[in-house]
Amino acid sequence: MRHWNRGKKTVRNFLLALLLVFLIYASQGFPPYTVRGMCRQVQHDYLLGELEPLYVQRDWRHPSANRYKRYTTVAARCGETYTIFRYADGLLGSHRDWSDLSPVFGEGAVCVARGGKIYAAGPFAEAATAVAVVRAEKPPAPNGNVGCREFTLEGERLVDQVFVFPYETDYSSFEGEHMGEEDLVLPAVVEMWYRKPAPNADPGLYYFENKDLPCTVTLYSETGEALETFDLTVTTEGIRSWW
Amino acid sequence: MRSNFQIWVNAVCEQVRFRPDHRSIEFELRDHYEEHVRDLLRLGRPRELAEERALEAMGNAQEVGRALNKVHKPWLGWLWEVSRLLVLLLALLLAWKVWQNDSNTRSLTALTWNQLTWSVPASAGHAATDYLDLWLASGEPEPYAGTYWEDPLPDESRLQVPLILWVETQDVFHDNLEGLYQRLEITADGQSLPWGRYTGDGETPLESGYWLYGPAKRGWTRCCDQIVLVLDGPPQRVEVTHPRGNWTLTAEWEGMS
Amino acid sequence: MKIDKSLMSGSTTLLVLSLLSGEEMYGYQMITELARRSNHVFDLKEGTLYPILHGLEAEGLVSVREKKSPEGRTRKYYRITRKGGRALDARKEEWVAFREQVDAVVNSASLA
Repeated sequence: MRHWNRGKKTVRNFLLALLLVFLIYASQGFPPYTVRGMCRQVQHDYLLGELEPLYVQRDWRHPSANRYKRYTTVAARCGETYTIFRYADGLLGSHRDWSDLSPVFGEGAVCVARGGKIYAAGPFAEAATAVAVVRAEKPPAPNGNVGCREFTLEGERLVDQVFVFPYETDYSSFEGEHMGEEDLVLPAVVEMWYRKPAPNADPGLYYFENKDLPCTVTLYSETGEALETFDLTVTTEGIRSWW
Repeated sequence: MRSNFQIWVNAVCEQVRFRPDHRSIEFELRDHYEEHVRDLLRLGRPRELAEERALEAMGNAQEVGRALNKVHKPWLGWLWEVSRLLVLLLALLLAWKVWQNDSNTRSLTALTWNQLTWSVPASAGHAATDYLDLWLASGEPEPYAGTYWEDPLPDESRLQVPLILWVETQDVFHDNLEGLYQRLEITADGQSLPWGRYTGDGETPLESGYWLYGPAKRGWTRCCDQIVLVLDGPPQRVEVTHPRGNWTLTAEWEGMS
Repeated sequence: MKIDKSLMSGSTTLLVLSLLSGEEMYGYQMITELARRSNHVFDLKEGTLYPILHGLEAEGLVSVREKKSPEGRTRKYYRITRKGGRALDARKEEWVAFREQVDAVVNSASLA
């Protein structure tokens, strides 16, 4: 085969490199790099109209023991539909992190629980403060008794239309100690009450039930007057998630 | 002890700033010198004399080296090395990604193959939105085989009823059209079926009356998915709609009761 | 008859391209062929051939490929490219014109 000289081969190699980058990018499904691109992808995949980003948060986190990754969490709105989703950012663009925060949608408002925080997005601009109440229900006891716990969380405004409601997550110190259920933090309660024996499996094996918990968000004016209440939900899986 | 030729060629290469080319330069010059030595030996010259003559004929090492250095430009040499390394790394990365074929990576060949072999039967019902075309066809009910599509349990009474959905978009697919599938509203003989969301036990609910995703073949802009209804008995008519689309796809089974 | 080196330097490229215009050759082969065709008048310092060949390759006037010689050694064989063929034609024309002018001056001087 006739050989090209070094200059031509170098040019050819760089063009080949560009082609390979394109193929790798294509093999990833043309992932977006910008928040605008992420919104467009969610719009397309969820058959929505144009999404307007309301709030963007970037975090560096350990997804596993040996590396950091950057994550982008976005709260956005299209008309009356609010959504919160998260992408894991990489060199070849960002991907929706299916193991993490799948997009959640709500008409009128939406909220999602992740790693000690409940994010809520909605028409909250007029409110001075907000409070979220999460209700967990205890499974019926053998004698038929039922119970529940309500967790009241104070909101912190992130932007006009987004509040965050932090909740206590450190229940490691409770393990092994005899604590009353009324003292347990929200994730511990959820862990305890939504655990079920695995069917058709050896005794002692459990699975964790992914259920929707009512999460009522109430907006208050500066004078403390309740303005509006939104009946939303968070998942038990979200409450338990470590971030 | 190094030979005189080795000393000579080292002196040549010393003048050439781009080190990666030293090996090939030495190889070519050595080949030349040795052939000259062989020719002189064939003419009857003693070895020592042949080597001395052949080496003298090669010329001044510094002059040859400087002339070679002018041609073997370091900047081009390093650019060439970088370009080779880049191509190698990217080719390996692409091969690894294609081989891995995990949820974030799609095999290019599989995508292209599915794109080209996608075909919709004429009997399938059709609906369209501003950037989606959808088709629906019905499959035959079978005993429910579970989420891993293994053999049905002996006492299984539920049925799995497949629907085949073809979708073609004007834009390249991302991982899947999540919003389309998750928000499909499916009714079977008037009964609304929710999506059987993962409940954490690896198994779907033991009761019937929901739907699941089945095996899918994804292309670039076309995909063919199965939707599996889990029902107590065979349906007569199923309707599929979406809250954001004003279309309805229907599938009917004849002779079912 | 030995030719002054300074007369040679400008025409070495012409000589090398001419050698390669007929067939592909490797370095030592070119040296021996050049000596043979010129009756040993052109006796290039052998090492200096390679910068010329490498330079011609960088300019795209020759191409190189590795081939196994009859003895089993891997060698670099040089071959003229199309661009090299065009450059050779141009240089030949230049040489002919140059030679004619030199002849014209030298002959008129000797007639005088």
